[in-house]
Amino acid sequence: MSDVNVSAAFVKIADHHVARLMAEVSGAVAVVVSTADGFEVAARARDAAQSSRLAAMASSIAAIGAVIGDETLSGACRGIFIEADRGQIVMVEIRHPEQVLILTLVTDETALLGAVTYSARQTALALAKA
Amino acid sequence: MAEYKLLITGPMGAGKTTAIAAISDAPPIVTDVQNNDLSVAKERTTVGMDFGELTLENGDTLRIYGTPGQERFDFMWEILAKGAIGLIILTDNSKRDPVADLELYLDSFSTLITRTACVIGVGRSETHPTPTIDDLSIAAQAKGVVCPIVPVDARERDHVLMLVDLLLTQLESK
Ligand SMILES: Nc1nc2c(ncn2[C@@H]2O[C@H](COP(=O)(O)OP(=O)(O)OP(=O)(O)O)[C@@H](O)[C@H]2O)c(=O)[nH]1
Ligand SMILES: [Mg+2]
Repeated sequence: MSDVNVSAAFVKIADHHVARLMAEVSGAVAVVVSTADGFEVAARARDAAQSSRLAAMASSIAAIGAVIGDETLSGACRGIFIEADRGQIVMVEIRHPEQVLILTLVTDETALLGAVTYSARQTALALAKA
Repeated sequence: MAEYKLLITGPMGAGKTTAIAAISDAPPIVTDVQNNDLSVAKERTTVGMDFGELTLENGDTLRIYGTPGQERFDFMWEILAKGAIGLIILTDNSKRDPVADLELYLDSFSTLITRTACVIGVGRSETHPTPTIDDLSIAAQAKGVVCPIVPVDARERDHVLMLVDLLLTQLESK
């Protein structure tokens, strides 16, 4: 999205991290950084058509996660983990001081949830400081 | 005492979240986040869903869900339409092409509309008289939808309750 409210410098750094995760995480199928309202900021995906859809879905799921965290008095939602038959989907918040974004990492069934979560969290921390 | 699910949809900023807040007995569930779409001057926008509850005089409870407006969230439209007994479409006459907006929601929710009932509430028609109710009605009829179309202000509880009433009345006569 050209008219989205994210600095070009941030987009560049996000793009670098997304490419790195796609290369480093074994079994990675898609990596997307998106705004809380569902716009893609940076993405790599085996199926490129998937990434803008993922950006919008991450936005909805994160917002619903936030409400559930809130209603159950569990606090703010940091991440959402989906274990599917043939893969895993990890979504973590990037708590950047200017605005909260979402990092989504989709893997196939060969990836280990723990390792995927760790990589996603580390990247989210790095991007929060970008 | 029965429980019914109603759905409210319509373009970004039409007043879906406002309408649900206006009639919900308890503070509604809201999933609004910062809006990054610079083409629309709006600070926050719904990305998940709105949810409110309303108990009617006869003891029946309405569970009222609101959708995100933007088409990129159409997967939520499908999820939220499940089990609904009727649809309220809110339009905004101050937008560039309210007729095209209406057509988009009529098309996207055609399965729900055919199966249940539909009401159209037209916002900001005091300041933006065109398209007229007739224009919108012709557009709806062209899509095979004949339903009440009324001017509303989503901030007014009575207006939103009127939409709900119009919807329930249609269902009774079905
Ligand atoms: N003038 C006028 N303002 C309205 C009317 N209905 C709603 N508003 C205002 O317009 C804004 C609508 O905001 P929302 O209720 O968030 O609209 P929404 O349809 O939920 O928007 P999204 O979730 O972004 O799709 C609020 O500031 C309302 O006070 C109306 O009939 N006339
Ligand atoms: Mg809303």
